[in-house]
Amino acid sequence: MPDSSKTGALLVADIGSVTTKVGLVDSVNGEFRYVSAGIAATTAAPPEMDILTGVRDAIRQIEARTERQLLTDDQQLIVPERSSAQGVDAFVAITSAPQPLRVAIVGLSRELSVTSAVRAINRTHAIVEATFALDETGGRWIPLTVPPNPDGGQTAATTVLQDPLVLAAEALARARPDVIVLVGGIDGGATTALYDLANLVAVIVGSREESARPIVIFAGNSAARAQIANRIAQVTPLRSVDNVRPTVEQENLAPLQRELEALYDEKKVKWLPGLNGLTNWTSAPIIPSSLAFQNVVRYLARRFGLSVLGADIGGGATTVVTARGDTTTRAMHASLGIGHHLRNLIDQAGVKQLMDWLPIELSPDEAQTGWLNQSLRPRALPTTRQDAYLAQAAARVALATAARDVSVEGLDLIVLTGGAFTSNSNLGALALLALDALQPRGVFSLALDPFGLAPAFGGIAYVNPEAAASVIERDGFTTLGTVIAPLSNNREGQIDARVQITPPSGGVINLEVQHGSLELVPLLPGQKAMIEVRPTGGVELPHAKRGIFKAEVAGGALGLIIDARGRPIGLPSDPEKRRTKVQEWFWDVGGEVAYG
Amino acid sequence: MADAIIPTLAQTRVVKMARIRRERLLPTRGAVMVTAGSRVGALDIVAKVGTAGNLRPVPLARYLRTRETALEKYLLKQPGEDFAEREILASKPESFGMLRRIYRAPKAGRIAAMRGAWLALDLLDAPLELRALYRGAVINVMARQGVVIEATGALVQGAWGAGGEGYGVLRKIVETPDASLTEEHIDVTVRGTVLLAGSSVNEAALRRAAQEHAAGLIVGGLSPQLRHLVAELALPTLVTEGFGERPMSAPIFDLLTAHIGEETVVNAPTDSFSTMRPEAFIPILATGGSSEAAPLPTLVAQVNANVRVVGGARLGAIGKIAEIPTLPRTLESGVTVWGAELITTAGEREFVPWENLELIG
Repeated sequence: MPDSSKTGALLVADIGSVTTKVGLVDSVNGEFRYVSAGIAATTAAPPEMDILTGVRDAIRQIEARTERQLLTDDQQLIVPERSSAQGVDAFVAITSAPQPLRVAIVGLSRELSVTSAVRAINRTHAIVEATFALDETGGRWIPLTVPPNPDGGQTAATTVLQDPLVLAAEALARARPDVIVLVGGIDGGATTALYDLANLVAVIVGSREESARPIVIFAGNSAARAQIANRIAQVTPLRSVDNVRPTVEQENLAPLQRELEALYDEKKVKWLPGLNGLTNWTSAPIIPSSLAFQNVVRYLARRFGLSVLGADIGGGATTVVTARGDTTTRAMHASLGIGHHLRNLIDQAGVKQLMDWLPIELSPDEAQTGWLNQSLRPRALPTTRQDAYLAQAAARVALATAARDVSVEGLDLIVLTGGAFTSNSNLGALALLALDALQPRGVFSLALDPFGLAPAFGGIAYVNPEAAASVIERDGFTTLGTVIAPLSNNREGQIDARVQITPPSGGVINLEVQHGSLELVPLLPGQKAMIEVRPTGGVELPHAKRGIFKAEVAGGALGLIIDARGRPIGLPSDPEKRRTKVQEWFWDVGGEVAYG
Repeated sequence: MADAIIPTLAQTRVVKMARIRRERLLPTRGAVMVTAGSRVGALDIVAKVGTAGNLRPVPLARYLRTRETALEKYLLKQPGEDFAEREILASKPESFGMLRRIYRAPKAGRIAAMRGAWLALDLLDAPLELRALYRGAVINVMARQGVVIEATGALVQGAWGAGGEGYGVLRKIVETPDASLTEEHIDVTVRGTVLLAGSSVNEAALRRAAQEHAAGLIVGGLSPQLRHLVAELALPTLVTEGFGERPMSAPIFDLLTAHIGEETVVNAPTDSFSTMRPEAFIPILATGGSSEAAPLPTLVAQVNANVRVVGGARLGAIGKIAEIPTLPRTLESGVTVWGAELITTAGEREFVPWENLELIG
């Protein structure tokens, strides 16, 4: 690793599935600060098939904006920095451009081991392509209709009974995963059925051409490892990790996640077209964007002693990271995004759920047409109000889906990044997006990554931790404000809380917060105010002592956001009333959604 | 004055004559039937495999009611051996040899592997013959996998496609690029042809086209409701503009119209992980020397370049770049972006952000 004390200017690149962003970080008055950025199309796919093309496009924008030469005439990065302020001392890249790993899960129990494996996979750059749970393969044989075979003298369709175990095994054999995850059994438990599953995996994998065989990860009963190795390792590489379900009650997902991340790096990141050219520019590893973002969220949590949630809605994937003390968790949907993967979102969530968040009247066909066209050309800017609303609705559902199993209790800070947040300039609409999708409760700050580079700033830590810390703290996020979100079952119009705000300019603002309301109270960035919140009977506000919550809170671009819509947020079932309500909320937070 | 910033744009190739190379690969290893240098027609078989990977794992020990360690002695066929339909693969004596518990092959095939209690049967019910699809010359053979074919002809890349690959004579079904294709347009005469439609197609027309065994469909737009149906019907469908009702771009419609009656390929894989852009290809014998059928020329975003608007209110508009401003511009919405001034085919001049443009040609 380079000597950080000697590092001057740096370039950071985030090579996403849709766009490539590059940022210039330099020392300004003794502190590392963000200076400029460029954004271009990611060029991993044909016809370019070279990620460097997009990186250079973005660098040329920085050159134009800063009048600082960064590339040589033959388009190589000038490194190290020259005395004439040409070039940079270091280059750092993160990426989310590769396709996710395709994983098949083979396990004993759907409810236990297979469910735990799915949970582990949903936190990595992987998608579940097929699952086989032995406890689902019993029961009666299933009648299947076989089409007529005139060549064999059969002119009519026939019915045959088929073993459900064989049908499940055939489905597994049809899948074409990169990895098979074999799970099952608690540690020290019975092994016979597990060995049988290992034989099934071996017979399927062993039937394939050697070059087309998936890698197998065993994450089941650790007592079975040696026997599993006997069965699998002869036909394909086997990696064994700790049991995802060591006891019935306990899950241990981290070892499987780590192994999948390592495989993602080996099988996907390292095969990105053009990566070799990029590695000539840097000695630092090119790491997955989600890992870099996780590092940023963890850094913020540790540095300021906060419970932090980070949300990243990208073109290909949606990631939610939480960091509380030393515990960091990540939920990730590698096939749910607002770019190419928008069609997956439509298929998984359904058009109706997406349309729930539209404030304008559209037919399901019109809405779906808009989303699908966006997925065909994910870089296109929404230059009509309708397109902007469609993009915002999709982003809500992507984030809500990714955060489904994430606890949103007791948060101090929520940070937002990704294409959904950087392609729109209306901060109120972006805050509303996060509140609608995550539905967090309590009192917490909301901050936005204005340049879409916060994850890449996290990547700087691999070459210069001091610069990373400086630029994350100073330029990584714009504070939108402090949110007060009580939890209540009141009816709309009833008083949820009485709020007293003492701004620095003096005077006192007293508010009666009605259930169902969403309000902004101006409090400028850098300003602080004392607030006193008195929830009414039956209304909960975490950290309230003896029914009163008192704290000094910071302002932001939006100020104080009082979200008394309750949790879960109730959307009217009548379409017209629902649209009106969603539109009201947009107005409440600062007007129309921005576009273009 | 600073130079304008011109990023790498997305592009759609619509080329009257070009030399292209396409890989034709088996899904699993088999036999290549042609040699490098040979010329192939669209329907020639370039590679084949006895089975397209139709593997049936069988819990044989369970069926024979025996332990896996004893299974081997009851096997009548060993891994690697072929078997016929209904042939007995394993037999276990029961009741002191009075009865036998047997397992018969469900279909002809080969024993692919055996491990523990499981036998894997590679069933021959789905032999796969891979056709050249692109008429041209085999320039490379990948042993047991497939070939690379070099072909010359007209190429049209689509925005979306599904249904697989098809080959047939191109037939114009509607007269204008903004006409809709309905079931009344389709009769038995569409069998084996690639249908050139206009702005959209309805469900009944899709079903009728599949029922009458049309070889493919090229259409400007497709209702989102029909995207899964296209894959289910296995009707190779190339959508040139996008979803919804979208008149086919004039350069595409005109190019295809010029080749009505000629053999046409529609290659539209359904697999969402495929990086291949769906396309239509019309093979044309190059007669004008190497210059006529050069590899695809690189498209460059510059003044006079042909572009298509791919986002915003002008979605689908075709035009030429008239000017590339050296400074970014602020749109009505307040967002400042880099882009280009276009003159559309309708004669309108308009500034469009680079993000909402693609090169076409």
